[in-house]
Amino acid sequence: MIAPRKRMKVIEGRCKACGICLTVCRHEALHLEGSRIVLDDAKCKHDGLCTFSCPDLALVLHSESDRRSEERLVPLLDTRDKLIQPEPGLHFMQGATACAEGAIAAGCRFFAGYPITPSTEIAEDMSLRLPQIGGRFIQLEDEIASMGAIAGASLSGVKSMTATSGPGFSLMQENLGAACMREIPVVVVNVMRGGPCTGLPTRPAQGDVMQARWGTHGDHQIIALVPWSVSEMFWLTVRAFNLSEKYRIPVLILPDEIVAHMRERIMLPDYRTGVEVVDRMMPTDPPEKYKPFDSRWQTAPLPPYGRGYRFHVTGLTHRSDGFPTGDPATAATLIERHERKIMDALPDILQVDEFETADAETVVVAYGSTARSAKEAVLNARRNGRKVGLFRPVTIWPFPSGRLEQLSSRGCRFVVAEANRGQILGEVERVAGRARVGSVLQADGNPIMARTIERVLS
Amino acid sequence: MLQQELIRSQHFPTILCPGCGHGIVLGALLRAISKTGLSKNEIVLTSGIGCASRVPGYVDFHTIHTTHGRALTFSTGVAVARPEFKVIAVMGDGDATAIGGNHFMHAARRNVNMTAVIMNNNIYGMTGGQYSPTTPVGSFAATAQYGNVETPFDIVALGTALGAAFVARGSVTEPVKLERMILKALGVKGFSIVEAVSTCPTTYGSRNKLRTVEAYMDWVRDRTYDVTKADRLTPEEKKDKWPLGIFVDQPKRSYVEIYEQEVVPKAMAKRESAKAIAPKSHRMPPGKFEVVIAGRAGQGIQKLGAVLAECVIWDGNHAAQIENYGPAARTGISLTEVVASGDPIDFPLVENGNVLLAMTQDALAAHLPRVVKAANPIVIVDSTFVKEVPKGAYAIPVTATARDEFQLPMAANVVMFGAFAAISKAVTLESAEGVVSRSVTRSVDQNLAALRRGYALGEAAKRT
Repeated sequence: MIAPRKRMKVIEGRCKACGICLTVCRHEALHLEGSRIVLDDAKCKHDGLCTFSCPDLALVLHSESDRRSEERLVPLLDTRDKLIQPEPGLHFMQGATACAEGAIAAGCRFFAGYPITPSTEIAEDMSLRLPQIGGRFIQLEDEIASMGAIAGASLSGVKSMTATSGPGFSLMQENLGAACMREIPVVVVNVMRGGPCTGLPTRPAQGDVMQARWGTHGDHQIIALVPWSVSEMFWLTVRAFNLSEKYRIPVLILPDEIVAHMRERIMLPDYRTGVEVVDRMMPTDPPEKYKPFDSRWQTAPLPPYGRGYRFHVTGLTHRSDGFPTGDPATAATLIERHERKIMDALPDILQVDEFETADAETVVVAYGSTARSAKEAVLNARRNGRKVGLFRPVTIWPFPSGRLEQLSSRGCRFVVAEANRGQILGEVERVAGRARVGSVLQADGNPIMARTIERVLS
Repeated sequence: MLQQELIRSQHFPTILCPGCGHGIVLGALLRAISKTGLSKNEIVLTSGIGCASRVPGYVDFHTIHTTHGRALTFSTGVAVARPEFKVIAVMGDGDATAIGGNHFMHAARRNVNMTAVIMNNNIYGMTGGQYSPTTPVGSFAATAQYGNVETPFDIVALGTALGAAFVARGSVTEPVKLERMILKALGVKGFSIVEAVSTCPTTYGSRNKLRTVEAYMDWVRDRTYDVTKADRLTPEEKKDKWPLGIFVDQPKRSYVEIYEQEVVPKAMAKRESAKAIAPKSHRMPPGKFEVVIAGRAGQGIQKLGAVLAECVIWDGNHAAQIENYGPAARTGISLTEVVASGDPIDFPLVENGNVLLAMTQDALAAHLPRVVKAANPIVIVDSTFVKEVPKGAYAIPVTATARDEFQLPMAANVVMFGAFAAISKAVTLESAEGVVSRSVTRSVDQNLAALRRGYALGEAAKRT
């Protein structure tokens, strides 16, 4: 059989008439006519030499019989049978370990990180545990790389996490924004220590709350959760993964140094039966109809790599098909959808914890380990007959303004206690209306003691 | 598979300027991929920021346009989490060697399985022609108005020094050779680098008297030579020129291969399911025990804190322990705090201390003030080291006991734990024995004996 002859063709619309092909053709078969390249079929030897040098892929040598290749799929490996966990029941555990176990229970199978006090224990636990259960751990050259790697791994279909502290969190901001813009589910743990800059690396603080909200540039949405116990280090990590998968958004966990380093009791569930795990939505459309930012949903489905859904993501403002555009209307739609998908889901996302607020005249607003001091202060104040309660935002971003507004309209006064110079105080003042707002602010590396809060309450 | 089948043709023409060399590299890359036999579903292509980084938009693979310099970070995530893919990172010269230089360095050292294609046009094109780490000395750029004075990087020498498995340099003037290099690179297990000498007529050519594509291509031809023919050239002829060819082709195990072969089997052998605690119902004395444990590093202070707190939980009570909080880092004193109570614990740190376990004179001096305000504080000191015992304290020679009676000086903390259990009644000896036997890996019987001895010493001890 004689192979069918391959023939040269110029694809109109691709050629930019740069003229490189004219310098390559040995047969003088190509000419520049005005602003287009024209092929002289009589002179062309159809050797395809010019195709190699065409920067616009406009010159092609093809034959009718060229076959389309078949598509192979790449399955995502199922690691469920490899899961091993501490026996369900009562354990004495460090917060960092509980965080790592929570991630494993939620399905995290990739961790990339860079050592930094006081978050390193989480990486250490993940480096021990992940290879036992079919996951992989990698220590990278810095936090920039760590954040990029977990975004890449998650996009490919593997739930991923990193952990860091203040200075490392600063370095992650660019690629955190990258994950926001591409709507990649990832979990980032930032164990807050004293700052700014290197500050007090081994001391507790809560100075990164505003950076968590607005650290990366541009209008973006973010979810941040603040645990106050070892048990919450486990369960909020599970919840962080579930929220990130459900809403395709980075979710931050903001323990302070005390919560990450302390050991206390925790009841561990059976990871297979006792933990609700949410996975990202899979597309039902065939690959040719799939769009990674399909506006039929506020949060579009996100298939793993290898299943025939080959899509593009970029940090540029993009259309629903993922490709960049400079169109202002599309840009506005994109940013508004990002906002709406979170704001419309507030009842699902917001979690607060209240103690003795039903009849409270004064409500202490505190989170993380500071809320534990605040609870002691509230108990002591109650013993002295004062109507005091505790409001603890567990979801700190988006900020649970609604419930605080209710308390405010009921005439409550607020006392904000936080280990910084008033980062959440501003939020409370914003929603408090005419209610009086006091504060206990401390950023000296020491935890806020109950008696310090009690002094303000009395 | 055909080159035309690998592109997203609806997005053509490309954003690249007429005559941009990057398109030639793209063509070579696609032809090379078409010859690998890989399915489009098996390829992940990433890029950073810049002109080169627009490539993923035009190719029909899994594509990620990442942030400036970070293509290799996203790639590393994909390549490690899902090594079944062929991962290709397309970068520019500034992208790969300036802002992304650190990632490039470590990706090569780590040998993660991926191919870096660096389109080197010696300039930051997209931002308007500022000089890059590969701009030749004397060349003009938007930020080198008087000619570049910085010594440029040699990407091939860099990649070779970093230990990449495959390093090659091709050129847009020789697209077929470039294609063959990329094809070889794609077949390499580990980190492979192909530098493609490229052109930027718009920003480099216009400033450097290379105003036609022909002149620019001739300049590139003049500045490059085939490395296999290097012997025939004089040093003068090779000066400031870029050799083309394959410089390193040395397959070695990739990061994931090593991980799977060396790390995973060890991890699988270490799989164990930590036993849950079966809590008893020991009724603790009322109130809170706020325990400060201090000594010097090496005395097992942290371990003592952890064992003590865990024991409280075994008894069915509540405890929180925190390591190294406080002035430890400043004074060299190893410190841990335990709060224990029959009721749930709110604030987990010692606020009103009432127990001090001091293993050295310094530790005692530093932390005694934290417990003296308590109504009836328990102060237990290791009289092996503490010679000035405060009034009301219990002096027990814990280190001497561990060393002399058990030939196990490391068990001093266990003796102290036993003494604490007996004096405070905060924990039961039974739970203490259980926790200690689970916490020590060697000499279990000796440790248990040391614990019981400590308990007996504690029962017999009197306040000084």
